Amino acid sequence: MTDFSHIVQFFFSGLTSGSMYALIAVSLVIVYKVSLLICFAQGEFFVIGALAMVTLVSKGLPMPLAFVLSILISTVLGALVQRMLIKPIQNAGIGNLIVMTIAISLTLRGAALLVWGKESHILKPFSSGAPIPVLGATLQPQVLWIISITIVVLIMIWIFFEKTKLGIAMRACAENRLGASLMGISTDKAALLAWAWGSGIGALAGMAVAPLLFMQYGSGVMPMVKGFIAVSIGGLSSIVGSVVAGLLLGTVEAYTIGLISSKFSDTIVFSLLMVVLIFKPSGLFGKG
Amino acid sequence: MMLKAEAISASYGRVKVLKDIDMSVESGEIVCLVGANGAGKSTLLKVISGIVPAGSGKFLFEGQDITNKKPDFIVKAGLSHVPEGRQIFADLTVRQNLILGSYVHNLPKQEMAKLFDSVFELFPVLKSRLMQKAGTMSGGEQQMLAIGRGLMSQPKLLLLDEPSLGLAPLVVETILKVIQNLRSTGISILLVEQNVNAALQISDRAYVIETGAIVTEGKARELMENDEIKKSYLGM
Ligand SMILES: Nc1ncnc2c1ncn2[C@@H]1O[C@H](COP(=O)(O)OP(=O)(O)O)[C@@H](O)[C@H]1O
Ligand SMILES: [Mg+2]
Repeated sequence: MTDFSHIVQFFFSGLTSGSMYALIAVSLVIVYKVSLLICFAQGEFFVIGALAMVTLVSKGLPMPLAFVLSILISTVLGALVQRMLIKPIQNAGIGNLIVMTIAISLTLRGAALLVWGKESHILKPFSSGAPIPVLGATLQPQVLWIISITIVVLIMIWIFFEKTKLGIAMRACAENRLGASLMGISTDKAALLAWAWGSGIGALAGMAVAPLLFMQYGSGVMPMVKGFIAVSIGGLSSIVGSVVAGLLLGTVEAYTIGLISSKFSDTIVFSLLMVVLIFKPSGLFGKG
Repeated sequence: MMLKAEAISASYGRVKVLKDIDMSVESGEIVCLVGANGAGKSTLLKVISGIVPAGSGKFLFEGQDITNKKPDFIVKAGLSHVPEGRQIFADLTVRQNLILGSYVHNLPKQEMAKLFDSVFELFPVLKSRLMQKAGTMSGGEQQMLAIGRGLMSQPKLLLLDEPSLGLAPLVVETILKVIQNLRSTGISILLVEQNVNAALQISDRAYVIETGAIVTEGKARELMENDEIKKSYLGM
């Protein structure tokens, strides 16, 4: 049987994977809001960010520098992908665009296999320190990092999209292309920025959880699927919705694994998705 | 000369929508563009503001060639287009909508505050709605926001596409008055209006456009007396 300390422990692991899903979901929403496209390559940015950091740290770079560089690499990669592969076919229809993001996903996964091989890599935690005992459970310091990073990213996103002219302009592009163009806002630039932001945040999610996972070239698949489910539950264009849904998903999953069995966690998660889609097809926080 | 169009043509795919359009707006004028639905009025405004490419011909704005320049260049040059159907950002606040109106200019806070004040002077109601989402306002208020947003780029020439469409008579009157006020502050105006009678009343000159070509032009007062115009557009 389980006692209270287990309940707390499951909560921590739910918060950990929930934060990861929330970040990936947010990165999907940012791209979706501006390009009206779900980027299925987001899981690869998650992996590439993490593995780039592993490599940079192993080359002797200090953690903070490796951290910043890895985000930069993923951001530039995302921007390049948008410019070279998405923009040329942006009027080719949504079906083709989705297929293109899947092709990009598989190609980047192959590239990661070439660069980092098949083996798993582990990143050392952002700070040293023993697990912290909390109410009989233990909290890894890295979990505090994950939660802090998630909070900081969410605040930055909020400020960017609510308070800065550029962020507001990006939302305007998503909402009314003609209106935005008439204001002299470049919808091309907005899409590019959205991809850069999205891949940067996806990478950040991977880097933050890398010390707790064995990360290899294919590790982005499940987080991407979960992030996508979170977005579907939360509402495709709602950042708040995707964060709430991501955390909810992580928590439900952790308690299912802890209290029932890991064999049921996906069943429960997908049932949750189906229930939401049947009763509120636009997602919990979606419009319409 | 504020704006001069020389032999402008434009197409959507293979369908030619504008044919050899010659027209002009003098500095300080209100010029009205009259024509049936589908004649090509909105398209002409879109070609001027760089949204739809011109197939051939030339636009001069204060002597500068602006043909097929990007919209941001054209807005920066001093030309602002308030489109048909308003196209405001419904999910953004009124304040954010207005801020985007001056997106192409990087203005210091003080200048922004002055611009905001000049918009509130024309449309006091917007001041009390600043933090409200634009989409929650009435149609008339949304039209005022659309015009206010257009003015935030400090235009010399304002293109207005059917600003009174679907609005209550009282609001229409307000908007027509504002258009006249704007002209008296030195802004030139190119106006597309279904409400032809009211539009001709406040205009200096007018062009009549039929299936993409200009068929008549002249002083607004004279066109109001023109039998053809009376029959086709004034319902007399
Ligand atoms: N985006 C478009 N694609 C194709 N045809 C269009 C488009 N916009 C307008 N048209 C066509 O071009 C013609 C002129 O339209 P428009 O300029 O909107 O006329 P008006 O503003 O005078 O009512 C119409 O026949 C219309 O159907
Ligand atoms: Mg029209």
